[in-house]
Amino acid sequence: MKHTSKLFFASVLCTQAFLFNGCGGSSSNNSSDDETNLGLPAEMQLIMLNALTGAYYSFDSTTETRTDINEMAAASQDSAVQNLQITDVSTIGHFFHWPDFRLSGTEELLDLKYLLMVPEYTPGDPIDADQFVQLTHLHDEELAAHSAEEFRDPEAGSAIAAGLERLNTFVTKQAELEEEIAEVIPADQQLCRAYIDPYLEFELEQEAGAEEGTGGEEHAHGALVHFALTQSGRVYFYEEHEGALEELQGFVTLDDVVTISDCNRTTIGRVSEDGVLIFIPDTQLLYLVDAHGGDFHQHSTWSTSSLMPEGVNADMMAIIGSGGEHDHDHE
Amino acid sequence: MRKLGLSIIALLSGIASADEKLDSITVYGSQGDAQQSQDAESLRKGATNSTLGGYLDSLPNVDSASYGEAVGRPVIRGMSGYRVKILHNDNHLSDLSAMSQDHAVAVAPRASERIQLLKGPASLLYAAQAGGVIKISDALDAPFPEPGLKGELSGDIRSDAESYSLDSHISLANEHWALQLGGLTQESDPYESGDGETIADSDVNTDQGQFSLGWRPNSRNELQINGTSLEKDYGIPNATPEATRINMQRDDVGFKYRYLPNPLWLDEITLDLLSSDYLHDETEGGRKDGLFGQEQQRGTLNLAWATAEWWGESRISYVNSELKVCHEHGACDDFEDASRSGGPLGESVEQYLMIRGLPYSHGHPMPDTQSKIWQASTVAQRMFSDSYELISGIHWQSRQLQPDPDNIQEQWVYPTSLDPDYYDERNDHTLSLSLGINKQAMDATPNWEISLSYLERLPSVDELYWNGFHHATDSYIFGNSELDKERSLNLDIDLTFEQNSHRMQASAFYYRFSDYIYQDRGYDESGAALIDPFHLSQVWFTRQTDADFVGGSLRYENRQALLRAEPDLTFWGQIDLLRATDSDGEDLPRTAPASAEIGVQFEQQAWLAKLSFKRVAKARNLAPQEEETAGYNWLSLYLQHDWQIADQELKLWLKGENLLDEFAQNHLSVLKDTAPLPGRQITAGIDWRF
Repeated sequence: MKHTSKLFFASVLCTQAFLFNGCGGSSSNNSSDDETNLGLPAEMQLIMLNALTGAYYSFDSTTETRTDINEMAAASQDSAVQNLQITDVSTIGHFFHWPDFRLSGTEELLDLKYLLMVPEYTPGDPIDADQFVQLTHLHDEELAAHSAEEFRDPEAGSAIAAGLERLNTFVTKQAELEEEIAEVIPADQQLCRAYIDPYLEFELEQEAGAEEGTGGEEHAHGALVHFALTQSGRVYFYEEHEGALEELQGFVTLDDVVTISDCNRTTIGRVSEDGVLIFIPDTQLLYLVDAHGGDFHQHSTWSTSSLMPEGVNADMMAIIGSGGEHDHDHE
Repeated sequence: MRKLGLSIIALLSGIASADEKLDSITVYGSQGDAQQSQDAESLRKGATNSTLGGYLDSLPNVDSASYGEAVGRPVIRGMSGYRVKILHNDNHLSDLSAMSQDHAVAVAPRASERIQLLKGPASLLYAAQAGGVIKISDALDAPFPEPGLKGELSGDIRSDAESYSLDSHISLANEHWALQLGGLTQESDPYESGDGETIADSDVNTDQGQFSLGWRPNSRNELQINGTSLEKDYGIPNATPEATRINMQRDDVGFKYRYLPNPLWLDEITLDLLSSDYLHDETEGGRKDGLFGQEQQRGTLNLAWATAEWWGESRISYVNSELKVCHEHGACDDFEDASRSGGPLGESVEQYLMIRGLPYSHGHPMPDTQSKIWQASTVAQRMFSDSYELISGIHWQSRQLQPDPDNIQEQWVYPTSLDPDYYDERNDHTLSLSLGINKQAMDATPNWEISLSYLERLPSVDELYWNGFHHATDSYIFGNSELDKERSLNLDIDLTFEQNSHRMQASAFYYRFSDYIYQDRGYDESGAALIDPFHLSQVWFTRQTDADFVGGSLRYENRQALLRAEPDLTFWGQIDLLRATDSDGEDLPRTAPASAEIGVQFEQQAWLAKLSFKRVAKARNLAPQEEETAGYNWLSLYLQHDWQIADQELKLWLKGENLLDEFAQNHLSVLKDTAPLPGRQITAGIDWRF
């Protein structure tokens, strides 16, 4: 009906235009039908990998452009870009997100990174060069990777050794977080993923340090929300009060989830202080769960089919980038 | 058929001489005469904008519920939304303008030839609505125009804010065949309010195309195939940080068969078949957050009959309608069924009821709903003396609703634990009656008309089932599946007195509602306004109460002969009043404030000049928590010059609205703060008829 009606519509307007100007003078119509605005949160890089074929793509949420990472790596002369290439699908396990915060003097440095772990890696175990294939981060706005070999037998006191130490500190902290949350979710639920906003956590730590006289500047911000994704597709929200986690609101049920079959390949990534993106391979959906001053809710979903080439599934997704600005001035 | 009513435009323009053309807007006390074609020009002369409400709001007790410059649904005697039925070429207009204040009426008044307001018994032929029926007719309503090649071209242009419109219609006809084509395009930029502020997202683009092919094999049979495609793209000047827009399309294809039979008692048989496809999307920041669609198939059989004493029309119709709504951020490119995991339905709704005490939802706000509606109606009238006439109307409706929640995400389906019958099929009936008496004597005044109607209205699908947020209105609305039918007792009285150069018309009405359906702002026990947990917007409940509407208008005219023997100068004054209260005596929200208008019109040969000044009073009758709206003045001017060259007619006109450039807000508009009325606007136009 739509197409035929448009033809009909055009022909009649053409009659009108003919009466005024001769055919061809019809006014244009600025319907938004052809717009492809996905409405993803800006300033994000979504990196998707198919474990069977090694198809490896990134999607820039701001420009809404997709890049074939393997192609890019093959065409690059830069070894850091070449390191991105998937050369052996048997080494593909899952992504592990590492928010690498560090202080360089008084400057806060932030690098959201991810590691492609080998299938044998068990979450919570210490990580060394044998546990991952590549460590990827953004060089300015371009993806670049270190190979695992660069982390083999690091020299004591070297930057690489310090990096591995920070990484393993985070691994331990993440394991503790998951343990803490697993204790508070309802008994009939199995924890799949636990997440807290690393930016906000880092800032709260800095503020706590400032109160103890070690410097730093206090900013207004929300409470540190602990997100718990369970295998049934529910998201629970907790906040810490006097050393204990208290439920913040009711749970959110994500669309279409029956059960999450592989939690290691399920991702929670930061969008802003107000929300997260969740990728669940079983549904091939990316969920935005956020709150705008009210309750957290499933705000939007995007199918990976709108991000990946036709017919290519994403078995795992890494979510990096600054996302919503960490606003020090917001009320 | 007999036309029994009064020509309101004749009153407005002060033109009462019998040899002049009938005017465009007519209030009928009984059945409208579908065969009469009336001049459309006066529609535009008094129009404050291009919406249907803008075309009609200068009429007594008619207002426009505006929502920026693109939307203006008429509010008649305080009746709004579903209480006013709109017909386009005798068919119910298949749009969703009654559902929400931001939804435009899917019709282009600029392309119309007549607009009739029906109330009392006459309106029951088409619908039983307390606000009556607005019957819009364009060129396609008459399948056979004058023989030969005829056409009309008109255009106008406005500066500040820039706008233009082009309107054309051509017809080629002989005794047996008739082809008609019409096209309209209107475009206007965001307008400025009276204080010089440009109102963001107030632009409007409208395009319409029409065709009609008629075949008359003999003098008793007429067939017509017709089509109308209307597209309207407009901004919503609300307070959201990203631009909210609506793109609306209505596509109608119709078939009409008219038969003039032999029997003396049967004047005319008309069969009307219509397929209508309505769709509009709502975008914010370019993302489709909402999609509203309604597909209708309609069949109507209309009989015009006359016996020795009685005459009238009878009508039977069947409508199959499918209404679908999608409301999900950026994910409403199409209507889809939601997937089911086999888990419990309505888990999240139950959770919100438990935690917050209300069954909030963040899913699609309504089930897909199929409506099957049968209607039968008759309007009959008879004279019982030379001057007195009795008119009666009866309207019966049977509706079957089949809601299907398959489109709603499983966690947001209304759970059976709250209402096991929520999505059950519903079968409802209404029966409405109206009786009127009028005195219409040409040689003796006063003439008067009185009608008493008992009307029943079924709650609409959205009033029953809506549960969710609406982006464009930035509000959370709870429907109410327990709504009963709305009933009203309507008393209308019209009185016309004419003597020498004086003419006075008084109208009064009193409508008493039982179970009046309305939206009531939500507050918690402490009196704090409720806000929805997802968007922090206002929460509204669909409720019922008893309500009273009382009001009227008084109009006085004085006609004088200035340059000719016949009256060419008319002075007039008009006052409109309305009061609407619920059973507690509280005023209902957005009740039109009182208004008064004075004007003068001069018409001589090829010249027409009209100046009017309207004062809209401050809105004083306020619902609880409702904010006041200041009064304002509105000065309008219309000038026109005609040329007649052989069989061609050319008109140039100039029109000015809000010439005092006052800052004005429409109390009936939900967006009165972000979308005040336009400031000074000057429009020039040309009409060419050949």
